[in-house]
Amino acid sequence: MALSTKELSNLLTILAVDNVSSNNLETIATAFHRNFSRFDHFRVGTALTLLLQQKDLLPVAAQRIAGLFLLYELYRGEANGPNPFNSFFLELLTPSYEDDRAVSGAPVGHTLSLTERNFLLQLLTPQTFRELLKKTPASLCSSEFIVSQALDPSVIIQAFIDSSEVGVAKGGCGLSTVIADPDTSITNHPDASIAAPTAENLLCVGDPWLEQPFEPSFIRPLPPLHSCTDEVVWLNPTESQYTIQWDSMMVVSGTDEIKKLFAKACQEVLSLQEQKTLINHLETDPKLIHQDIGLTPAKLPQLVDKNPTIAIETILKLTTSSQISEYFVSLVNMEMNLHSMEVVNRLTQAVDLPPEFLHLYINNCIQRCRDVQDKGLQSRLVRLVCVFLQSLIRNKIISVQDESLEIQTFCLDYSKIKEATALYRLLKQLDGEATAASSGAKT
Amino acid sequence: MSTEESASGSYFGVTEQELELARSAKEAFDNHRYENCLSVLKKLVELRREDARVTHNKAVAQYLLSNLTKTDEFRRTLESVEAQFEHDAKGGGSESVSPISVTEKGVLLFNKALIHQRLHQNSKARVILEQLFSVFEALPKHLGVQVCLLLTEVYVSTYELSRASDNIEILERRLFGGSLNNGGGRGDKEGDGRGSNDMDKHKAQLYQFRARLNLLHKNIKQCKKEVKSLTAITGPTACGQFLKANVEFLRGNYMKAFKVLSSAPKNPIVTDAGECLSSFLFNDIGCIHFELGKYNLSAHYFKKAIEENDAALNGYPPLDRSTPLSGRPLSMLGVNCRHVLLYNLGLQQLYGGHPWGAFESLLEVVQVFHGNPRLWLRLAEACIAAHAKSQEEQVHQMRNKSSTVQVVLGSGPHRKLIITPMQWPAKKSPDIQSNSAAMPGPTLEFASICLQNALFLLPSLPQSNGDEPEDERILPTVNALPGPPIKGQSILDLKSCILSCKAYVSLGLGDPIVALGAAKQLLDTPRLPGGLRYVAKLYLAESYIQMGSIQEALQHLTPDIVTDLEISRVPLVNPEVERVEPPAPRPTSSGVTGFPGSISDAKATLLLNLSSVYCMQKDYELAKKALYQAISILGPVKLPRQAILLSAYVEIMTGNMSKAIQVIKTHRPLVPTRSL
Repeated sequence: MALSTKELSNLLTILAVDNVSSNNLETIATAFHRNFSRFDHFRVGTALTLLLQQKDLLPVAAQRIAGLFLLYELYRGEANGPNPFNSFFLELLTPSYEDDRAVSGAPVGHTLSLTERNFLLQLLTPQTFRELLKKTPASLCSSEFIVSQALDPSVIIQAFIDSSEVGVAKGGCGLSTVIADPDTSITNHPDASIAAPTAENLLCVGDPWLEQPFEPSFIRPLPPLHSCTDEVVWLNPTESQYTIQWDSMMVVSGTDEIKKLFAKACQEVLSLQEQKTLINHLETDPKLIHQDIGLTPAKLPQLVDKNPTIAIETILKLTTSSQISEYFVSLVNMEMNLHSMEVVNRLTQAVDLPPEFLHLYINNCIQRCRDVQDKGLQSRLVRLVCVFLQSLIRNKIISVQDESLEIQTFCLDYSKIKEATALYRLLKQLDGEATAASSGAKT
Repeated sequence: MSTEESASGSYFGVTEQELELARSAKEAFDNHRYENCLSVLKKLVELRREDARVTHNKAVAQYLLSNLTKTDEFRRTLESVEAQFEHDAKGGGSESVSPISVTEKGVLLFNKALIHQRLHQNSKARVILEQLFSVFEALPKHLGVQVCLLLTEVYVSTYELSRASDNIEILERRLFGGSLNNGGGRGDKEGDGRGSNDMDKHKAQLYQFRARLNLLHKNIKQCKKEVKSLTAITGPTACGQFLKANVEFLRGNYMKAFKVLSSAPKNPIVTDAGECLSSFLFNDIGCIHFELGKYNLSAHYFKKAIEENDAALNGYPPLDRSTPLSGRPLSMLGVNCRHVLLYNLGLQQLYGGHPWGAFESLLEVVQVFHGNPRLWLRLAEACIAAHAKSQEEQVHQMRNKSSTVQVVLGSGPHRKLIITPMQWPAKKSPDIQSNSAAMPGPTLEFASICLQNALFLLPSLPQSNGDEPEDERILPTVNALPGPPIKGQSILDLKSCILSCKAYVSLGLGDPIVALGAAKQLLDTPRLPGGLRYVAKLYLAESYIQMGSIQEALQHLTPDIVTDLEISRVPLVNPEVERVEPPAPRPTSSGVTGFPGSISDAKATLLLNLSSVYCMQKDYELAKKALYQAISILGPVKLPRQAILLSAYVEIMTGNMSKAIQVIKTHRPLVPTRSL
């Protein structure tokens, strides 16, 4: 935004005391336009505002009048909107207080002398502007030039505000960062030999600070640093010693193959040959089941479904294991079918099953029959259950007294089915025997 | 096809010769004679070309023979062996359902997972291990235990605490038939050939897991017990000592933690698990100094930790791009924890007032841990601090020593003072080099992006009044790697801080609408800590001023916005842990431009702002009153330049030019004597 030294000296020549006392404003304007192109206007305007604020740099009133005029002239008749320095004019015209004598030691740039003020008012009034052009700044400063009484400053200012689209409230609190601090100990009179370099320092160096306004600003404290626990990471060595593993299943005699076969048994029905191989191995190496064969309670139902014979052998081997109850639970809860009943039936014959397990299993069977919607499937299941129960009862695996009520209800529910009636009869008969025996015992 | 034959056709297709070869290969392997082992396996391969297990073991032997340096090659072989397993499974007639094939290739999968884990690819390792874990029961016992241990390791290091403790229970049942403490003695009753040495190792491992879990739960007492049990088995190992020091660290026993650490063994330089002990040591000493508030010292230790880390790596030739995993042992590939160390370092630099350093460090870290919202906030904080500091430095670098006068021009009647304006414009400060836009720099613009990322990574929090402790459980958790996840109220704290930064940054960027939104959202937070409420109110007021609504701004500049300067809802000290010393004071930059260091600073800043706003309204009497109040709080000594300039401004505006110049020159605001 700075001016070059040459530009500044041109500008100061135009505003020189000789020049402004002998030439009228029109001539001054012509000289100005000869020296500066339209692209320079804003920079020159900025410089002019500073010169106007620092009155010691334009010490003679006529110079300031010329300066005000040029600032106005810059954008006169400009098609691209109003003069950007209109708000500056407005600031000059609406000082916070008025004091004609205040030249130095008063608020910088915010007051004009009465003469200057009158001139500015006329400058901004279209009706009087033409007349002004013919006059020299020096003559405008002389005492005979007085603003006509007809002009009311407030009317002019309002008209100016209306025409120039300057917001009144906008900005308005910024001051220049340049503050006059005259050292009066040496001399009180302006000294051109000092003024020129000072102006050059102010306007040609391009100090960024000069473009900042001096205005009250809002202090914006920094947000606090986030504070939390567990952020800084403490490192603990683990010294863990996992190693790359050797596959010990490589080329092992039968075991490896047996395991594969066993896994297969959980997935599909084995051929008779395969079943035989597997059962033989389980017989010869009973430890296999406990260790590495890969059977879990969760897998048992699959095995029962696909290969009940193998399942029976396996469970029989597992009865000594601590996990056997988990296997029983798994068996009880699996979906009831011929295979599972076969397995349970075989188990009852081979080992003493816990009564609560059997009780649960029977209840599960009965419940399952009730839940089935398909009539055909239902009667098939009921038949199965009845045969299964008959076998249990005849073999005295379950005590009739414990279960009879539920079983009787079950038989009555499905009385249309032959096997159910048979089972009912069996129950009644046993019941009769029992009462006979007990009454016999009584007598 | 011959594969089919070997897979299902012949149960007795193994010849005596093959069995013998397999046995001797295993024996050689167990005795670490890998060369022998390999030559035997070569013979075996001749006989059983299609046997995936033979190929696998050959690869294992070769890998071990190379001292675990040919990881690339080993991985490739594992891939092809895996394909062979798949092929066999299909060829064998059964559908290639995973349970069978997973069990079949269990060892292979474990080896794959182990390599992932060593390379810190925890999520990949986890996928494989969980697959194996689902067929846990079907795996050979030894392998099953290894799978379970490694999976637990992965869970602990990724802070999956509940899963980890479930696994530990399973392991206890499996290994010791019950709880480790009760049934520990029954360990080797199964007599499966593995000595009690192995059992001890497992026990030590379980104690270590439990100690680490308890540390994460801040369960200090229990953790102490576990560490004791651990060292009872292993003696004073590095692992035990570090854990012990960690316990003391959490208790606030910093000197003791330091002592324990110093006595920890320092060899080997890099453990088998790929941990550089000296680097860990310096890191942890750094943590201690951080808690003591000695940020420059802690930064020094973290730098040393990074040096050690780099030194451990420098002994090896640079890695080849095409085979990035070859040339160094597996343990050395995972040794690098540079990014964790850098995170710690960046934090010290931020707290220690070196925002540019913090920015550099954290920027490197965020490329690895980009899912951590707190890290993004830290990066933004570094940008903000750097920006603020560069502005302050502009003041300090002034040609003149005075903080109010920039330069004096001219002399005599033409002498001019050029004063330093109170605030810089919103545009970029001039001293920041104009880097390309693609390069992130410590600017407010980049801070704004960081904050956006941080907010994006936070879950949407349930609307609640937030004063019920049970809310903690409903609130989700947020990943904060490399640290443990952020939970509950801490998420709210984090979000509040992000919002306050967002408001600050937006104001600096000249975007009052965004700033207003952020400040309002912040003020809507339930139970907002006093310090954050205070800055939120000031940001809100400034947003209104930037938008030209001075009246609105005035409504928020009331003295009651200064209550306390708390910035966190969550007590920084766990109430269950009795601290030996009070927690280190968190740093606060004092003065009016930083976050206020005391209530009176906060009040003074508020009054100065109030005075400025009255100036904007051209009400100089009220402005003076507020200004004098501020000055009487601050006292004449530590007056900020804003107060002096404001005083000069008021004098100019009330026509006292000479008084204004006096104020500027003497740095003493004019105050009516009675108010001081």
